[in-house]
Order: sequence, then C-alpha cells, then structure tokens
Amino acid sequence: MTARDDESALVAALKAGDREAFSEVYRRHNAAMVRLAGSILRNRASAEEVTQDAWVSVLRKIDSFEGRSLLAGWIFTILANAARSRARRDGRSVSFNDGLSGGDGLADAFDGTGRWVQVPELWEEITPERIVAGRGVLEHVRDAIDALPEAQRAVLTLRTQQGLEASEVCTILEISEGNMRVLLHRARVAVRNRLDEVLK
Amino acid sequence: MLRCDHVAEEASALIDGNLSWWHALRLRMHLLMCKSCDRFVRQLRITKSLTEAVDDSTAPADVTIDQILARARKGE
Repeated sequence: MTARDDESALVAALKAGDREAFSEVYRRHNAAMVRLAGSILRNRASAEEVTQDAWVSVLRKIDSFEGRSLLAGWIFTILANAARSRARRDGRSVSFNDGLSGGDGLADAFDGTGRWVQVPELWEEITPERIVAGRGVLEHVRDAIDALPEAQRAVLTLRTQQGLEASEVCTILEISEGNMRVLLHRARVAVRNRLDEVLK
Repeated sequence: MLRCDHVAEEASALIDGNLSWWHALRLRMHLLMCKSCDRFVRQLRITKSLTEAVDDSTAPADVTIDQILARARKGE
C-alpha cells in the first residue's frame, strides 16, 4: 500500500466516523499542533485549548476535505488559522519572519578569510540507535529541536517531521519560500552544532 | 574559488536540491577539493536524516479522543 493509498483509506475512515482512524491521526499530529499553536500564542494552556478546538473543526469539516493537499497540511492550516484568530482576539500578533534575525550559528567556525578554523569532525557510525553521553542520539536530537527558536522549530517540525510541502509550510507560517529555506538551514545547523558538542 | 563560509551557508540548499545545476556543480567541485566543507555537508546530511527519524507522535488518552468526538457530534 502506498502512502497515498494509506492516506485515502484514513480519510475515508475519518469521514465514516471511525474512532480508531481519528485516534491514529491525533497520535501523528497532536504534539506538533500544540507546539505550533504555542509558538503563535506563547501560552501552553491556550495552545492546548486551541488545538482541541481545531480537532473538533477538523472532524466537523472532514466531509469537505477533497484530498487536493495532504491531510496534515489541511489540519495544520485549520489549526494555524484558529491560533491566529485567538492571538488577534488577545491583542497579540506573531510573525515567523522575526526568527530571521541573528546569525546561522557558525560565526565562530570561520576565520576572516572565510576558511574553517577547525576541520569538522568525521562523524562515523552515527545511527539513531547509538548511545552518546549516556543517551540515544535521537534523544539529543529531540532536545536540540526543543531548544530551537520558535520560527526555526516550526519550519523544521512542519517540513521535516510532519512532511508538509514547502508551499504548505510557507502558507501556514505566512513566510516566503526564501525565508523558509533560511530558517530550515539554521535549524539544521543548530542541531548539528549540538550533536557535534556531544560527539566530541 | 568559492569561500568555505559561503559553501556552508548553501549546504542545505545543495542537500535539498534547491540550487541550479551550475551552482550545485561549483559547490561539488569545491567539496572535492575541501575536506572541511565535505565533512560539514556530510554532517548536515546526517543531521537531516536524524531529524526525520525523531518520533513526533504521542499516544492519545482515550478520554481526550472521546471528548473531541463528543464535541464534534454535538455540533452536527
């Protein structure tokens, strides 16, 4: 079964009111939804409330989902719109373009002529299962992702972990494709820097 | 000759296939000659695959699922 067949079956089950199907979709996306809503609202309790409201909207509107985009993209669009409405009601405004200030985390890695000060390490045998400093590599990666600035984390989560198309990420976060690429690169460099520290 | 700091800035674009073929070729030529940049790009490729491998799912509580389903049905 292809990923598209899998998604079509899941959507059909959701439309039929299948509890297991909803539970599966919730399992896949809820944590990332709460984090995205938190990035917009800057408040954990409000983020959880808005996310639960968004799930209710998803179920009520599922019959209008035509499959022109990925289900995840549709769900995150509903969530982002709900979170933005709530933020506006609370008199707050959020722009993910704010995350572009600051450097890319490699300022000290180069000398005045643009050459590497130190040759980067050769990372050998880095597998998700490997234990470093008493913890699995993926736990270090998760910590590094949690520590990212909001905009970088939002882009990395939607594009890499939730698998949304670049255009969907840009629409949901209201950023240009160029800015999205910069944020994604900076997020990866930050995670790379963290791994480089623990692997030394 | 490209500068290493500029190559590093474009490493994600190279990995993601977002560069023109000519620009990607120039970067790849640089990587053939520069061990540091070659290692950095390898590190970033590994980082990309590790971030994809992080499990972002959560096991839902039955009570939460039931609450949401009940609220959705109430609005019908």
